[in-house]
Amino acid sequence: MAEAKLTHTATMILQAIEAGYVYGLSVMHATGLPSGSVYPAMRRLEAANLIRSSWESQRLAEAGQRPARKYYKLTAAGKSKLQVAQQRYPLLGGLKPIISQGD
Amino acid sequence: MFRGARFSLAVHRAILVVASALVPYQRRNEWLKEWNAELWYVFDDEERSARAATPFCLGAFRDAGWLRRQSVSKQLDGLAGRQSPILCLAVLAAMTAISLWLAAALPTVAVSAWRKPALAHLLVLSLALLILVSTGRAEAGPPSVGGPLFWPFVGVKLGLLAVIVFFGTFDLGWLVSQSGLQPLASLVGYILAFRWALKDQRRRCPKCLRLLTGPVRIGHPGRTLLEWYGTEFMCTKGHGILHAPELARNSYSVSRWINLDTSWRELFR
Repeated sequence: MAEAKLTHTATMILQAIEAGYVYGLSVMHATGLPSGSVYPAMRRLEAANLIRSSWESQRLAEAGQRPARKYYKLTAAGKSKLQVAQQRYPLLGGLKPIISQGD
Repeated sequence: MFRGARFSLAVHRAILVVASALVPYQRRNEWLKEWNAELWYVFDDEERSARAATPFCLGAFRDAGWLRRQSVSKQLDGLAGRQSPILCLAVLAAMTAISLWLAAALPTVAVSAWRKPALAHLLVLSLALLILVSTGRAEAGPPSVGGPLFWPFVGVKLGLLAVIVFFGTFDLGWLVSQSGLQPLASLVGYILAFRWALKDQRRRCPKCLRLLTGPVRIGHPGRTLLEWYGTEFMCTKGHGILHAPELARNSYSVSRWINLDTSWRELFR
């Protein structure tokens, strides 16, 4: 069976997660996309098994006097989809080293 | 956090609580936990929080709305006979009964009025079918590989819809005029109803008549010279796969059914 295509926004989000921006808020800062775009897109990516979500350890969060956050990681399928999408959107592939420098 | 942040945080948390009303009940607690946690980090960044918190929280409505639409979509897929052919016919039969009851119960249209326009209705029905055939919308799917119930199912669906539209003109026509029969409304009603019935049939497995699932887009709209561009659906019972083209081309303008033999059944258990 053939693969479904990734949109430009979805590719940016996958690229940000792969670069280490694993929280929703940090993906927003890295991509410049608003929360109303990032969070629904991440839900769609998770439903498509391209990313996987997990909660941080509550004990560690409480030790740091902060709330536990949900973080996201790419699945194997997500990594291969991202590689294909980066060929389709070459400008995004060129942005990758800039995102990796982080903030 | 900056001065006044506690009050501002409380206000923005209230915004998230309002947005959470859209989230399906089963997911609401976790959704609120996620958004509240992220909001805390928005306020933790003093430089950004003052101008970023409100747009951040307003985005929660879109996220909550998306989750609600997904939940409704999944429920609708199971309701109204969208998957099972028996439930589909049961829902249509219920709609027929309601339409008949309303037509008999409404005092403004006499029962005798039903007999008069029968020939006119047949003419309108024939015209609707002619329009569907001439616009290429009359394809019901691959009957050559259909099971024994394929055509009876199509016939019963079309028959029930014809009755619904016929009595529907009396149910709704009295709102506009006393005659009860609206020829133009009947024509539009038949075209829309039959178009839906045939489109629904094209998306069903020709063997078990269940709705096909798992749509996957294949190909690229810019590469149709030597490649195929469309959507692939599959039968959950493993009877086969349907390839539905997005673009009408000379060599591949109709849907194509690919039979799967019994060796594939293990994948669909």
